[in-house]
Amino acid sequence: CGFTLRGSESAALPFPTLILSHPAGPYPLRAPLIEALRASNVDLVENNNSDLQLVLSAEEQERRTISINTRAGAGQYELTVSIQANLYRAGQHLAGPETLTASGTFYEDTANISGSSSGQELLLADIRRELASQVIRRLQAVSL
Amino acid sequence: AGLSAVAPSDSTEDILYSADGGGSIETVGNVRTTTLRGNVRIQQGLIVIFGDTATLEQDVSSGDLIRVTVEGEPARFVRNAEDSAETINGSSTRIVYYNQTDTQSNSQVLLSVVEFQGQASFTRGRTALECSQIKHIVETGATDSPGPCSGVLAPIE
Amino acid sequence: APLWAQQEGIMQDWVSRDQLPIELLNQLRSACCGLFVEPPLSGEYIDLDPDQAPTEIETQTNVRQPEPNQFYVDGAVTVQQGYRSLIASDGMHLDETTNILTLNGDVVFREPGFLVTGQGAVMDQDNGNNQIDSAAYVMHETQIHGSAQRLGYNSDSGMLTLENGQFSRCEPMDPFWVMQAQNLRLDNENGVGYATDVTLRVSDIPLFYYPWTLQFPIGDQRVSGVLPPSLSNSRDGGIDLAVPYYFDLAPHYDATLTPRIISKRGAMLSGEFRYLADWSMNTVNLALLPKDDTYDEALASVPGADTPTVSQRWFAGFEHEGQLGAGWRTYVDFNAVSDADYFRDLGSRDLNVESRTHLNKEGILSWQNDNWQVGSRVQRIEILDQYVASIDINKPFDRLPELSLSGHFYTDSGLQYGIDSSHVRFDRSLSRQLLSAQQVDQGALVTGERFSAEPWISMPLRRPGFFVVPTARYRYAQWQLSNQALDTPDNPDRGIGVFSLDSGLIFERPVSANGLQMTQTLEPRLYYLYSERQEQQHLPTFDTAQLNFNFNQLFRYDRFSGQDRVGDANQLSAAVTTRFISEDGRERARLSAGQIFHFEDRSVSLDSPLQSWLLLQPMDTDRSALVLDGVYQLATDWQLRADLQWDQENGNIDEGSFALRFNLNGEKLLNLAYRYRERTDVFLQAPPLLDPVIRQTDMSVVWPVNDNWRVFGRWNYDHSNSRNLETFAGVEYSNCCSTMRLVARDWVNEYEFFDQNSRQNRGIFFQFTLLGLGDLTGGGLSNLLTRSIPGFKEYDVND
Repeated sequence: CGFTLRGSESAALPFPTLILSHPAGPYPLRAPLIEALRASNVDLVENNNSDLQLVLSAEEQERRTISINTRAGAGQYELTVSIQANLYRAGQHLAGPETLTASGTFYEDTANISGSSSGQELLLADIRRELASQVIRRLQAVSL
Repeated sequence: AGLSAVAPSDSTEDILYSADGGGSIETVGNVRTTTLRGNVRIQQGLIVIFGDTATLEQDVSSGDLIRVTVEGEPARFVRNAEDSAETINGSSTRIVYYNQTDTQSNSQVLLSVVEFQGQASFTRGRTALECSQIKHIVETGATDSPGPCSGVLAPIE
Repeated sequence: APLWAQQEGIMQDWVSRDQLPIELLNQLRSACCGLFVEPPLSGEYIDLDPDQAPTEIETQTNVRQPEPNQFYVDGAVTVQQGYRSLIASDGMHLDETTNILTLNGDVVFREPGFLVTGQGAVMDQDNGNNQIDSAAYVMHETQIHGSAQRLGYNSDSGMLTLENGQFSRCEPMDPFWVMQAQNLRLDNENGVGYATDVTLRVSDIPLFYYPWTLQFPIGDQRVSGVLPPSLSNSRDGGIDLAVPYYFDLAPHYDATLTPRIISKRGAMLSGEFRYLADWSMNTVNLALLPKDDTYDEALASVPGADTPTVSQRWFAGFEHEGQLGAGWRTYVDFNAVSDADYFRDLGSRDLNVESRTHLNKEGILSWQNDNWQVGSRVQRIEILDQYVASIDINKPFDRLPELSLSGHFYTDSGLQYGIDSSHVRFDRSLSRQLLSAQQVDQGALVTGERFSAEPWISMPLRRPGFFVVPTARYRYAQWQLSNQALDTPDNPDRGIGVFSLDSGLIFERPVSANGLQMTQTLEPRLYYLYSERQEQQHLPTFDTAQLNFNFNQLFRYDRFSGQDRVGDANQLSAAVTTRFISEDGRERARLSAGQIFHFEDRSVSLDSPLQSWLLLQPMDTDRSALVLDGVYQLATDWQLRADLQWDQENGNIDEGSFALRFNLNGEKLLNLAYRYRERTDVFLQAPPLLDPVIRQTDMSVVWPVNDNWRVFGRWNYDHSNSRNLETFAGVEYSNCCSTMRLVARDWVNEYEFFDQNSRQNRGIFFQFTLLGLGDLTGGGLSNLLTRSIPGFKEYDVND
């Protein structure tokens, strides 16, 4: 029915190296993004003004109650994380700003808060892997 | 050879005039008109007027100067600075210079009037004025124009 | 005639909606019918300051210089001084010695962003003071305009002073609100206004009078001033008026003080202080209600009684987030409150139903680079909910402290390895008299330390068309316990090997759907997990919980969070995902299905000697529930999200939800969601008479009726117990310069669980905001709308 194994041409990224810039301090999206870039054999390089530069904004997290447990305490939350991405080369703005968004839900069990807060951490890790793959797909679609 | 001479004027100084080209004198009735051509220069005290042609009208009987009319592309008027007043530069296609009794004050003081007619410009100190015609009274420094005018006042350094 | 009549002068800059160029049109709110637009400047010296530029004069009429530096024009004249241009209908006089320019007749005074018309003007170039009588003025950037008997404008400072002046931001023809003042000073540069002896007239009705000097913001810079008040009326609290006042103390710290009157409870004061150091952001929140009038000594100790447990109610919160140079991070989140119901009764600032279920007291110091993460944390979680807190055995353990170290290393060959380790001291103080002897024997008073070390190694092989990721992890943990359950060891340890093999193929084909060229992928995935079985029922559960089953859970190496339990597993997860990706790389649709096939029954559960817990996932089935999860957003203005968990063996739907979101460029919003979940509240029998199964509908809508009127509403209903969780309906009238909202709201009252006839919370909320007097973000009502209606965005002042 027309499906073929994804070949390297449609999956590869049209550049071997990339500069990744984001706000200072801990930036949790960095690890899954490095792994996704490495899987598309792209290496990170230090800041220089010849290579492509992907600039990511700080994460914007929004937590919304979507269902309530029996004691009118929050039961299920929807967590949405969005970032802004821009692409530059030697200071020249190539693409963006693009907003990338991913979301998921998790339950908080009022009786076991510390247990369920790690549930939120696991969901955040999944959301960041999803954001990383969105970045890769968008980079593939950029015509350089 | 240029023509230069001194014409009596009943304001304090005499008028000197000269021109490169020839001149002609014509008397009609009590008015003798002297016409000068070619790089005309007319001076009275601090005032100098330049132009291409000039006509001086004198009262034959008293010898007084009635009116000087200078034309040029443009005719130019310069009044050099004195301790109390700044340099004045003016120009227009025709400059008419005459005396007139002062109508405001009753002391019968004689005022010397300069009329710039046709693309008149008048510059004194920080002010530069361009109008269709400008009338200037030397003694009071006053100027007047019916408009239309455009003026530029330079900023204080 | 009112001062307003002399406005025609500035109407020369008014451009009605139909003549506005496109780029201005989309800045204009739908309720506005035009804008003051500044005509382009022309002239040779327009980039010069007036006192550095020559004064150019043009006139068709008489010009006189009776003396050398006195300059008169007798008729209509235009004057240009750098970027300032002036017009006078009958004459001007320029005195070069004093540098004072006097204009007569109808006068127009224009500077970039500013227009004044009036009768006569005197302008002193030396001190920059310009004065125009019976003036009308407009500031194009903020659209603020008005009139005054005498207007003074200092071109150096941009300060505008109005005697007996008026000021508004509404459309000039018939302004909805006007601020009149004996003396009005608008400091445009710093964005602040001062009005003395002020009257606020709304559609010509004097609503508010203030005899002294009132300071208010006029731009959007941070400036001290009154923020929009919020007014509401609810059954529990009665009339509730809060008027916040913002103090912009310095560029890096500010404060907001909010006096608040609640008719049934009394007067309250709350304050927020923010301090931005160069490496950290610090926020202190304090609130005090000295005497709550609803406090009833007799009933105070009766659970569920409709009275607060204490009379003096307060809240204190401190939050700190810092980055100390490369990789270091500090974080403090400390909250304390006088009683458990504080947020429900008084937390109306953000009006949300659940507000807070627990109070966090936490401090973190951590450092990380690309390979290492080192962290230290102290944390205490206090449960606010009385019902939960009263059964102490589930009070969360404090972490005093938790030290964590984890490393992640990559090698050129693709091999990855690392370690996650932690050492935590768990402690909690329980009231012994609340516990039975049996509970103590079962280890209710257990405290102790736990050391865990989990080295792992993985060899991911990723190619465009497929991936194979084998991973091995050894999960070792060792406890030092005291007061543990009878005949259970005081220093147990546990070492479990975990092996997982993740693999998947990625197929693609071009496809097109309603005109969009897309790539469809087909991604089958197999994930095998083997985790040794080891008896752990004797171990206490300090920080472990059962993870909720969903599509992502198929590919996790444990069904528990935390380190007190390692789920035994010998299973294979099989799943397939198909995505539709458009040419710009956006995922337009995704559908996934997956299931776990168990080769052995499971035996490790969360149960401990102290208590047994409801099983979220059966331990004896051969297959997990079939999980379906999908997103559909082919068109940009609506999106559908759904998921389902169907347990074939028992023919039972464990969980399901669908959420439809429609958003037409932020104006028309419609959200419809239904959620079903069978197993919740894992260990607790639900409070009596209540069905814990979640069957909840959440519908919300924002619909513009026309340019001025908008309706919005939410219906959030719990079908299991046929009770209303939150329902509100509201209407909003907004014209060009003000917004009025009225919302009637009815929301669940958690006391409802103890006696059936307790009434719902019901309240009317009113919000009235004048655009242009500071931004609209204040007020609890806007937080309610933003929080409860997905996609709702507050109006920005200048949009």
